[in-house]
Amino acid sequence: MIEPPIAHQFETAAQQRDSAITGMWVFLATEVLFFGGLFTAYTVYRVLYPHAFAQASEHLYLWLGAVNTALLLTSSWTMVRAVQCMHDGASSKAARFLLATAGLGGTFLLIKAVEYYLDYRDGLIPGSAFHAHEFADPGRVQLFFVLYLIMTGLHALHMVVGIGLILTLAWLLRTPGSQHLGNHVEATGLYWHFVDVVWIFLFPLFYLAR
Amino acid sequence: MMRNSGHFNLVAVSLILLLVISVVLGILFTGPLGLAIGLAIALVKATLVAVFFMHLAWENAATRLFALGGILMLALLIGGTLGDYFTRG
Repeated sequence: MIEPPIAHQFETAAQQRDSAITGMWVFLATEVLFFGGLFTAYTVYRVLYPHAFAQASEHLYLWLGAVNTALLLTSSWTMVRAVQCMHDGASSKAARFLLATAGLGGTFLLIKAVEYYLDYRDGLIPGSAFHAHEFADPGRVQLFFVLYLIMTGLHALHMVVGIGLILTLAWLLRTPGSQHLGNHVEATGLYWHFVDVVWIFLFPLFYLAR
Repeated sequence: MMRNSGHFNLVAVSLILLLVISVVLGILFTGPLGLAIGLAIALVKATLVAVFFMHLAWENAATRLFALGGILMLALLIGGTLGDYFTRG
């Protein structure tokens, strides 16, 4: 591994690396609570209105959700391989794994966009166009779809940020002598895995709540 | 435990297998049981990602503490809110 230049506030490269990684974990702890409020809202209303939530969940496209989960899990694997390549000093190989990660993330977003369109066509978007006549309890069913749109939407926003970071790193790694970006790749990897973990929980909460 | 590609590949295959199991069981079981099974599998998947892909297995105590801290705070948030909602007269 090629050691990065050590900033003046650090004694060793190991200390510098631990600071970057622990710092990212501190940020991720705040992100857990950022999403946590929404997960709490979901839990309360799922307990209060189990039948409306089960009925609403049946209207989502389970297979699109499952394919998207598989894409994200695979993208976490390509990300971990990129981190590993950086560790071995193979930065151009790492860049290829980063591009694969961004590609899988982009495909996820594309499928999510198609799915949102299908949900819209099915009249599932809360508001005046909502197909209220299809449900016994339209108000509570709309509550499910409000949570679905906000939580998957916030997740998608995080994916856009992640893809931006990953593409930037892949671009920087094109230049020779950029092997010192190992900590950057590793910290970005942590963020990407966190976004994957959020989806791992969103999948059963929305698609398997029938 | 050493990190090598073999471990990461094994974790990735396990994650996809767990997803397949989760979808099959999700179709077979509905209601609270179906959701509980789905969430239990999600918990296993998230743990695999955190411990191996996010390197928690090899990190120092301070880093692990922050990872656990976030989860603890979330448990307090959800537990406290549910405790309020479902003990009202």
